[in-house]
Amino acid sequence: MNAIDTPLVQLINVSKVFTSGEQKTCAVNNVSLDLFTGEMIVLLGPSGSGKTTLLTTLAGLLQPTTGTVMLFGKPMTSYTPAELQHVRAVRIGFVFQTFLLMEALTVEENVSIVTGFVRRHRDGIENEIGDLLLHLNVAHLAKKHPAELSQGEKQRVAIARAIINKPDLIIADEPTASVDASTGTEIIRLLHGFAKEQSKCVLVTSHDSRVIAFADRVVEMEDGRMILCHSPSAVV
Amino acid sequence: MTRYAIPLLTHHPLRLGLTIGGVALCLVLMLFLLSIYSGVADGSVDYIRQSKADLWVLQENATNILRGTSILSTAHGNVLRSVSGVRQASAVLLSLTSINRDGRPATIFLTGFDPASNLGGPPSIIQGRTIASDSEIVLDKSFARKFAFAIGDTVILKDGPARVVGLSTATNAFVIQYAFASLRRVQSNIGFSTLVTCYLITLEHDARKNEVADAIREELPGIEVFDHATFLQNNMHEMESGVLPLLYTIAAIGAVVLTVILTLLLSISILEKRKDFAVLKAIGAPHGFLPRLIAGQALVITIAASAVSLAMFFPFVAVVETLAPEISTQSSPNHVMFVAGAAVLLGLVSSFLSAERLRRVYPLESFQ
Repeated sequence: MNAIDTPLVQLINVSKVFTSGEQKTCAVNNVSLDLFTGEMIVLLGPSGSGKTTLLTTLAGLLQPTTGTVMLFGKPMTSYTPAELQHVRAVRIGFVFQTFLLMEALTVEENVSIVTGFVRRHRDGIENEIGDLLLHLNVAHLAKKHPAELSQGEKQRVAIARAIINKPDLIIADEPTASVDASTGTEIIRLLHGFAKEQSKCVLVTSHDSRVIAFADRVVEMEDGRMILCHSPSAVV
Repeated sequence: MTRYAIPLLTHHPLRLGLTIGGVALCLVLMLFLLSIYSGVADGSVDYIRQSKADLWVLQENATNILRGTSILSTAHGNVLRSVSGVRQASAVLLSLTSINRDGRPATIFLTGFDPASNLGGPPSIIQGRTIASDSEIVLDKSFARKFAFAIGDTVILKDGPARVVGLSTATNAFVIQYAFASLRRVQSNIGFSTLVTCYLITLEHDARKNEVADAIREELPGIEVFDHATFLQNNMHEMESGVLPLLYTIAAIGAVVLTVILTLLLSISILEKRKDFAVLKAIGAPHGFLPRLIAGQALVITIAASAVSLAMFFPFVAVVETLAPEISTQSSPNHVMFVAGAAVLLGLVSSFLSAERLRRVYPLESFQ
């Protein structure tokens, strides 16, 4: 763990219960977790263990049933919906398992569209996007559509979209699940580099053991509960 | 916002083309109705507008000649001519008359006037000449074209033949066209030699309209006297009350169809791109971003459709006027601006209606 100040995000005894008729499902059960800048955390667990619910809760997309989520130093409940949207646009970047790029837009447009979420001077944004695509080795694909890209290229574009607004926290949901092994390693290396070189926090859910090797901390979940939180050496 | 709206639309080129085509047809319909209205509004009253009469004298309670009946007699003319300030009092007799052209029935607004004064005669002759005798007739140009009458042809009226000697313009009242014969001939045709519809009065140079009108009312109780502007206004009002509701109804239907087409397209687009929109919401798209994206698409479609409709409109009108010469249209840049503005407005309404679907797109769908 690098520079440890106040946590970017803090989950304090967070539980999330979904109710359907009389049936109640506890997707997250009394989880406490702190996320700091400069670290890469891997969330492990089988399907249905509550990883995605935890991700979406700490991103402000779900309100916890009980417990407190401190988002960038403020309780999540103190944010208005518009403020939460702004936080997600500016301070959180998302990378999805199936990339979820807009098929109708080019690579460049897929990245630039999120810059429109924030009031930024348009001057220089094109250059910034060009530099980022170059850094992620997809600059030559700027005018292509997602359908023309390989899986690995799509995921790199998705990462570009996630980091173009320079967020403090990247949430990556199974980012290597849809790519081959070597591409998966490249993707994780990129995310790891983002955490270390730019002192950002990266939270990744994954089953991939190579991902664990890059982690500062590994959090294991089962049936909504956090059963272990440890350094990767304990797992590897 | 059009930066993203355009690629989102062009991703489905066939659908976009059909939508632009559908919207453009609605706009052509609206433009066509506007131009018909202008054509009718002008054409119906051109005969009156271009008349040189200072005053119009009709039977009591008759306010117009388009949809009213006025019956006066030739004896009224003698009294009118004796009123101080009256220079000319020329009788006109209007009669809806059926004729037969090679087995095709047709109706004309047969107008009897005094060829000597030419008051109430054809306002503008574009081919041939005006009548010089009771055996001659002038036909409206579009009527003549529709029924293939040419100069020198014969029109069979109830009381006998009349030779076509001229074709007139500004005499197409849309639902019926004027034809001109001598007053005597029209009186003979209907079988009442002392009957007239109205009198057209011209005044001496130094006469005041109001004073002469009052003098006429005093001399002839039971008649109506209108100055030219009022009489023109009465006829326009009559024409509008008869035609406008129909045109408005059809235009409204066109506007509704346009809105429905656009709303459907935009709604389908939202449903198809539901996951995309869920992702955009999840990654922080602000509240108005997605509605603006939808509005951008609506604007792109309506602007493109406006351009297409403009390109289609003039050839379309040319075809219609060839097939149905009695339809006279009149277009202006104002019409184009009005229809393009209405299209943009309806596009925004459509985007507002379809954007309702965005409310039911949830950011968490992107994690499913």
